[in-house]
Amino acid sequence: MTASTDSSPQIDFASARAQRSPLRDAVHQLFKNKVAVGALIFIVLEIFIAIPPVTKIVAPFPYDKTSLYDNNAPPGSPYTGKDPEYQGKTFWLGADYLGRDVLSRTLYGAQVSLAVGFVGATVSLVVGILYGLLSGYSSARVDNIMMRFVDFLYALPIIVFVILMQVYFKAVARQTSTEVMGPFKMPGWFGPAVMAILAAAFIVGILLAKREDGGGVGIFLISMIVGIIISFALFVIMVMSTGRSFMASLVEIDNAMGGMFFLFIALGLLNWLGMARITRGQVLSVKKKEYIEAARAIGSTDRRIISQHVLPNILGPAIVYETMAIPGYIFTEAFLSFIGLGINPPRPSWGNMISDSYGALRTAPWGVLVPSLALTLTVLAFNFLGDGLRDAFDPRLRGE
Amino acid sequence: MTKYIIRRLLWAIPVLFMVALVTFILIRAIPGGPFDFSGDKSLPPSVVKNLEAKYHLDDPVWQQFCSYLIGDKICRPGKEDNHSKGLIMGDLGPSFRYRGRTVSDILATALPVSMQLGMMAMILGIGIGIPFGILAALKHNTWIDYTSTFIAILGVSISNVVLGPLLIWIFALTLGWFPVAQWKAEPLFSGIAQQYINAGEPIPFWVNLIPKPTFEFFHHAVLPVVVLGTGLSASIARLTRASLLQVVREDYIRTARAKGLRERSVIVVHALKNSLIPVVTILGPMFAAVLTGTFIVEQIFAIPGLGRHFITSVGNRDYPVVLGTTLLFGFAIVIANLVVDIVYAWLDPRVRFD
Repeated sequence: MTASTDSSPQIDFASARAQRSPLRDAVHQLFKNKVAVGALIFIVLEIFIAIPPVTKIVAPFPYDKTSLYDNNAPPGSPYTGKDPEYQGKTFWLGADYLGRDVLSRTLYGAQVSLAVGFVGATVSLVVGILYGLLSGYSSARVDNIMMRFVDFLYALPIIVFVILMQVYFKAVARQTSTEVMGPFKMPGWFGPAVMAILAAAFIVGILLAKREDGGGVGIFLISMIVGIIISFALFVIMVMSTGRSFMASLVEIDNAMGGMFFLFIALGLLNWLGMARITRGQVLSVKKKEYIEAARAIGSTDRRIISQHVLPNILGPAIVYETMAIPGYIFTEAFLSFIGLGINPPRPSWGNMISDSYGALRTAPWGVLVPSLALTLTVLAFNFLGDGLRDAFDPRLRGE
Repeated sequence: MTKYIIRRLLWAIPVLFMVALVTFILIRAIPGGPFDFSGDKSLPPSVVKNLEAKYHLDDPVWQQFCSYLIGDKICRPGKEDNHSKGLIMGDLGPSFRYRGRTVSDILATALPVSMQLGMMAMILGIGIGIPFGILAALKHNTWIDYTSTFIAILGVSISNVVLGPLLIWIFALTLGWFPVAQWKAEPLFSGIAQQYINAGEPIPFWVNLIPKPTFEFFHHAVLPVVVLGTGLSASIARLTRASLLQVVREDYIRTARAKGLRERSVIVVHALKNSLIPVVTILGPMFAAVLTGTFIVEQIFAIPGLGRHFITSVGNRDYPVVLGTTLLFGFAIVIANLVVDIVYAWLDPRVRFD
């Protein structure tokens, strides 16, 4: 606890107290870890590049711009196509078998991997914590039943079901897109409307969280989730009002997201199990602590105990666990895209880029190597960050 | 102990039933049937109808599921052309695509391949992971520790999807040391296998499982096994290191040192065995990782194992093969978890079953 040493004679109690909060302490520890900070910077930079308008500016070519004169062009070769818009541009990291710029596609691929990582982690965090809290805080019988259910799901061959679900979603998407009346056109007001809803959810969330003294993170999250659900409902209603079925409207959402929506569902359905188990274990151990008893003795309600005492204490381990789980989600997406069950082409993901260029491995290895490097570096960064967070949040591992 | 094992095996029944039910519903819900061919190969509707009738695909779905589970005799009473004996009798049904082969035949040839691959990868993972983890922990905060920790974190960060093509590019295409693809395993007991072939019967699973240790076999196996084993050995090494570092700080280690034991016996007798307890707990998830890995590795190296058959069959809508493979995966996970729990109890005397 280096943060608490204060040699000045006049002790500023307010700041000393603030410095001692576990979160502050952990952040302080994290920033002392150079590798973790490097990883964090890498990830933040990557997130910045993956913001769609930024990607558009940074990437020299659109991801689906083919140039048949330049197929399998080696790194550094100039664009030789006829399109005047791209004259004088260079394929810095080569082109793939359709003459698409590998660098641009790799940059766009970051959008997919990061989105999958963060959505996977968020779903797992929210569902897992809610389930674990409920289970750990319920009576022993309910707890037992809820955990047996988790054990039961744990015994299922999850990856097999993920594959089956993806095949199902893909086949349904193909079927509905051929049978419905032409492509669906997104009305112009929809994007701003969603933005407005999300902004409203953000503001309402902050206002409500402020009124709740402490532990408002949960309220804020719930508000954001409600906002997202309202946006989806709006989209579904909008699509269904044009005479399409409910499934067709889901397919339209999926198309608009390049195949990511169904991927999120397939990934999110079962990835919360580990989180639920950990949260429950933490709740059970926190529940027996003296300070909970003290809180109960002074008449705190269950809700207040959960939000003030239990949740803040389990949030640290939960976040560490989720950061370490992100590589798993990224790997699963890469694997699914590799076997053609992930992102819809021509949208690039690192997995489908590798499988696309795999056939030309002998003549044009850059098509495989560049996305491979991107995938490995990203996952490496998350692993370093996860290790750093674990060391920062777990004081027992510090020192030496 | 026996009671515990029996209880766990009984618990597997509802799990496998659920696996069968969910898979059955999912695979039937996927648009397109097993006899939908496109283009020149498309069949006239009347032929498709007859084929579907032959395999009872025109029955109500619940009846098909019932037939699959407990046989035609009970579920299609009074009807002709009953052939399914049901899952409980060990009948997994015929393959729709590979004419004349039953699902059991296909599994008997595909499962040994996947098991050989997975076993060798796990041996590699444990054989490299545990020694290096111990070494890193014993040489804590030296260059040996830093190097192996770095290699380990690199190892867990590299996906099979990346490592497979990379190793093929380096060692198969550029250097030409290893073949690009395929799996060349001959049964060790070729005499027994020949007897079955002569009798016109399918070779049973256990004969295929044990490979003849030829040069060809290992030559083809090196790359896929390394791809599958790298991630495993890296995560085992990380866990072993962390666990041993934790154990070394325990009071009983201090006691052992205080009573003047040699450092070697402190580590070997007191620390190592206890540090392996957490390592055993990830063997279960590791088994699942091998399973996922075989899907990728078999795809990349064109190895005719279970994962490859599963993916092909899902594409072909070969319902019985998909169901059979999924059930086998489910069963394998149940068994793996059981084995892990037993080993856990054996290592940690505090854990007792009753």
